[in-house]
Amino acid sequence: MINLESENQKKSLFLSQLQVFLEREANYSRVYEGVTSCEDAFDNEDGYEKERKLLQENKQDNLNSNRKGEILEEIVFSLFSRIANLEVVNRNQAKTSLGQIDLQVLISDKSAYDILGLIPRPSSDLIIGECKNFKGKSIELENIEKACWRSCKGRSLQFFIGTKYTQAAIDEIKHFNSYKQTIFLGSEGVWMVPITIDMIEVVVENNINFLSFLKWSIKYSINQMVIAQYL
Amino acid sequence: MTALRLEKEIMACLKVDRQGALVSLTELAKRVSASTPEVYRTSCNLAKKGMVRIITRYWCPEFHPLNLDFSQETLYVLCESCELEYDTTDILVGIYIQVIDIDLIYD
Repeated sequence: MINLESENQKKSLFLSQLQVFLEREANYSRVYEGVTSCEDAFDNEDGYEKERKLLQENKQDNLNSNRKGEILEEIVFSLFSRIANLEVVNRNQAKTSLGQIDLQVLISDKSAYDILGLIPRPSSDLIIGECKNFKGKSIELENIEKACWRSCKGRSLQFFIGTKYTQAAIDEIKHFNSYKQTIFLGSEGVWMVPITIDMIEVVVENNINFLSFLKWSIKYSINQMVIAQYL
Repeated sequence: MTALRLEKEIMACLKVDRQGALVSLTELAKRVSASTPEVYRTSCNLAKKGMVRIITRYWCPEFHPLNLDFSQETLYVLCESCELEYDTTDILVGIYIQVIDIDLIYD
């Protein structure tokens, strides 16, 4: 049984931490002229109209697993498409050299990495999005192992978007991000960034800039895996 | 404004108004009266066509300019002015656009 109280606590803790980060970012661009913020690279004029509808649909109990998977992919696709310096090239593409990829994103210009706070810039132009909208099931170690392998093979930054994570899955991501240099050569810019649908829900409901959220999630995944407490 | 129209406006601004000088993304957006994300997206397209270059400047959180070494992955950057190491994700960035060839004919 889901502990709603602790779920809500986790959500509000996440929101308050994210707001602190956003406030600091906003201060920099207010004070220093010439600083480019995530606001400058993200288009949200309609207030996440499409994403709100899809998130609402995702809450329905009678959805089958295929539709649940599709919904999450659509949400993530739509959110990434709003980012000015990224180009979503494929969605749910089965025949790639990396196997089936839910979301293939190409960066339009290397400055995209600068905005995301990935300095020095990764050499790859590819970003992968992996979506797992499980019903009553958590992301397991095996899912993460597969995703890590894909990230290594594509030498790419990967966002793993799931419902909930088992402790083993979280530990595996932490281990990968901490020791990737010793696992394989050319690991620069290859990171696993885990996020949850609950986080996306908070971002959309509060009309928070999704790109700022991605920057936050990268920061707290590559640095001591602080993000783990919100997963 | 259509994408093509915006491309023309941006090129005219960079070549004629600013005479090939570096223009910050926010200033460019103000000058062409379009939203910053829209101008950024269009500038990326222009960069792909080889018509403009996108340049990033880096500062520490105290706004001291930084010269970064991109040859090695690191999680910390030293600011010589502050004599402090900063988390790379805390580095401030500024995106600037510059026309590549001022004599390029664009119509």
